[in-house]
Amino acid sequence: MQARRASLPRFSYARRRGFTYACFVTPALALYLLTVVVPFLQGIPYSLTSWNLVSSQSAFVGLKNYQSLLGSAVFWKSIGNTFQFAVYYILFSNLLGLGIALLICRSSRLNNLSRTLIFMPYVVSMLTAAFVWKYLFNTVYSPLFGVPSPLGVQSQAMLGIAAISVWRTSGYCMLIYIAALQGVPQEYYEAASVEGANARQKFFRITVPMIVPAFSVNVSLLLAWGLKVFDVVMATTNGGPGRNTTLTMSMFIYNNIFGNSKAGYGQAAAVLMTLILLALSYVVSKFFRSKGVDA
Amino acid sequence: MKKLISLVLALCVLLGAASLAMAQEEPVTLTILHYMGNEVKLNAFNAIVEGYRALHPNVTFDSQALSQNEYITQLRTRVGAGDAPDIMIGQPAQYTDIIQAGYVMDLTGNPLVDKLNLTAADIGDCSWEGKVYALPLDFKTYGVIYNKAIFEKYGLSEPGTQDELDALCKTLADNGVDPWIRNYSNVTYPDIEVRAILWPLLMENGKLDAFEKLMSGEAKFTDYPEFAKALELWGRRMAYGRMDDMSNDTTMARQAMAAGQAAMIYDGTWAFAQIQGFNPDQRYGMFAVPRDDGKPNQYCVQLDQIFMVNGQSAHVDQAMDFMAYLLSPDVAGQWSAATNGPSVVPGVTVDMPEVIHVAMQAKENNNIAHAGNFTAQLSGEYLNNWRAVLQGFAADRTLTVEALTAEMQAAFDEINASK
Repeated sequence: MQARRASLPRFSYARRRGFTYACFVTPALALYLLTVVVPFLQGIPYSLTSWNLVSSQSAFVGLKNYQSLLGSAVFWKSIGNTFQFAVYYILFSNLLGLGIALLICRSSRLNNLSRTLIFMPYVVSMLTAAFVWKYLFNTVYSPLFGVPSPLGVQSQAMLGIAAISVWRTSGYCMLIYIAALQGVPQEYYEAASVEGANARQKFFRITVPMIVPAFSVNVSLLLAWGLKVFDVVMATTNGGPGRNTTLTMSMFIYNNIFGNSKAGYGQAAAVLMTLILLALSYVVSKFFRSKGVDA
Repeated sequence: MKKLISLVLALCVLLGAASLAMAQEEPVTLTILHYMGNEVKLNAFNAIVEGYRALHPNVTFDSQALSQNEYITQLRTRVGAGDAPDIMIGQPAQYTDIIQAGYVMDLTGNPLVDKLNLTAADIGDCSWEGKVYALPLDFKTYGVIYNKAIFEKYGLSEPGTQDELDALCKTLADNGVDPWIRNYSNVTYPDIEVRAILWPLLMENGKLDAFEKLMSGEAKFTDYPEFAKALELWGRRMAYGRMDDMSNDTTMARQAMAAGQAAMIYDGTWAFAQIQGFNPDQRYGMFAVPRDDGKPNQYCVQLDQIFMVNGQSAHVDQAMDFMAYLLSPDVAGQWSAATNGPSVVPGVTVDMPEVIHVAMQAKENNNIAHAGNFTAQLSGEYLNNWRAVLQGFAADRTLTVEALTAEMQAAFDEINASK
C-alpha cells in the first residue's frame, strides 16, 4: 500500500485545490453552458435572418436587423424605460432592505418574526404579486387616496411597477444585509466609541465599508433582474398605458418575436440586450471589487 | 363448395367490419387552442366537447383556453415549434403568416361552409385573399349597454344624437350617477369605441380599402376625416369619466356595471352573459353610439367564435367531424342559449335577452357596418400599435385629435420603414 501511494504523482497544494474547485464548479458550469450559453449562441444566426417564427423558411439579411434596431425609436425607448425601472428598483429595494436590516439585525423574538414577515413577499411569484397589486391599486389605493391607480397614469406607471417589484424584493435584500451586518466585529464599534465616534461616523466609516460585499451581491443581482424585467410589466400594463410607456427591453423582444412575427429582428434585439447586460454586470462587479474591504 | 365460399365471404365481411370498427375506435386526441376564457363560454364549450365525447368515446380533447392577449403569441410559438393545434380560434386575416405556412385548411367550397348560408360580409370575415379559411359559430356587435332602472329613474331614453347623449350624461352626472364605467386597461376597448363611429362612416363613404391603404403606406390618416371624427366623438364621450377608467380590467368593469355603479358601459354582445350573470335581477338595454350628423348610426359587426382547422393535422377528418357537430343546429343552439352569442347557424331558434335581440335584428335588417366588407382589417404590428396609441388617447386627455393622428401616423410609418 505504501509503495502504491508513493508511485502516485505528487501535486502541489495549489494544484490540488484548483482541481477541487473545478470539481465543484463543473456541474453548475455545464448546466449554465447547456441552458444559457448554447441556446444564446444558437440564436445568433437567427438574428441575421428575416424569420417570422412560423415559416420553415427565412431569408438571410445580414446585419439589417441590427441596423434597423439602432435606428428604431421604439428600441431606444424600451432601453430608456428599462434603465428607469432598474434605477428605481435597485435604489429603493436596497435602501429599504438596508434600512430594515439596520432596524432588526439584532436577534430577538420580535425581530425574527419581523424578518419572516418582511421576507414573505419574496416567496410569492412576481406574476401573482403583480395581479394582487393591480387589484389593490384599483380597489384600495385609488378610493383611499382619491387618485387614479398609478398603473393607469402614463407618468406614474413605471413607478407603480417599480413599487410592486420593490415590495417583493426588499425582504430579500434585507436578509443579505442582515447577514453582512452580523458579520461586522463588535470590537470595531467599541473601539470607535472609545475614540468618540458618533453613530453617523460609525455607520459610514465602519458599517458601510464592511458590508460592501453585500452591496455588491444586491446591486449586481438586482441590476440583472431589473434589466431583464418582463413578467410584472406584462401582467400590469402590458407596455402601456399608451404606446410604449412602460415597454421594456424584454417586452420589446417578446413583442417582436411572438406578437409581430419578426423573430429575426427580435432575436437581434436579444443579442444586443445580452451584450448590454454583460457589459453592465462587468462594470458593476469591477466597481464593487475595487471598493471591497478585507475584514 | 358453395358453403365454403359463403363461409369465406362471411369471414371476410366479419374481418372487414372488425378492422373498420377498430380503425374507428382508434384513440384520437384533438387539440384546440382558443380564447373563450370567461367562465360562461368556457363551461358552455366544455359541455359541447363532453357531448361530442359521449358520441365518440375514442376522441379525447386537449382544449386550452388562453387570454386573448396571449393567444396570438402562444399560437405562433406552437406553430413555430411544430406543435400546431388541430383546431384554432381566430379570424383568418389576423393569422396570415400561419395561413401562408400552410397550417390553415382552405375551406373554400366546403359543404359545411355552404350549409351555413353566410352573407357575403360574413364570408369576407372568414376569408383571406379570396379563400375561406374559417367556420363561424356566432357573431358579435358592440354598443352601449345601459342600466334600464337608472334610465327610468331619471326619465332618460336612448339618445339618437351625440348632443342627446351629452345631455343624458350631464343629467346623470348632476344627479351623482356615473354615466360610464370603462375598462381601458384592456387595449381592445379603446379600439372598439373608435370603431363605433369610424367603421360606419368609412363604409358609408365607400372607403372599404382604408385599412389596406393605411397599412401599405399608400394613404395617411389625414386622408380620412372619418378618423378625426371618430376620435372627436370618443373624446366627447370620455368627458364623463371615472378614476378607474384606465385601471379596471374587463371583469372589474362588468362587475361594477352589474352592481349599478354606473349607467352605461360600452361593450359587446360577448360580454352580456357575464354581466347578467353577476346580477340576474338587473335589466339592460342596448343602443348604437350616436353620431353628430343627425343620421342614425349602425352597429359594428364581426364574426365572434370562428374556427380554423389545421390542414397539416393528422386528424383533419376528426377535426372537421367535430366542427360539423359544433355547427349543427342543436349544438349551436345549446351554445347560443348558454352564452347569449347570436348564432350564424341556420335553424337555431333560441330566446335571447333584449340586448342580444337588438343586435340580431340589426344584422337581419342589415343596419350594420360589417368587418367583412373591408378589403383588409388592421392586423399584427399595425393593430398592436393602433390599439396602444388609442389607449394613450384615453390615458392622456390633454392630447388633441391632431396630435394623436400624428402619433398614429408616425407609428405606422415606423413599421413600414422597418420592412
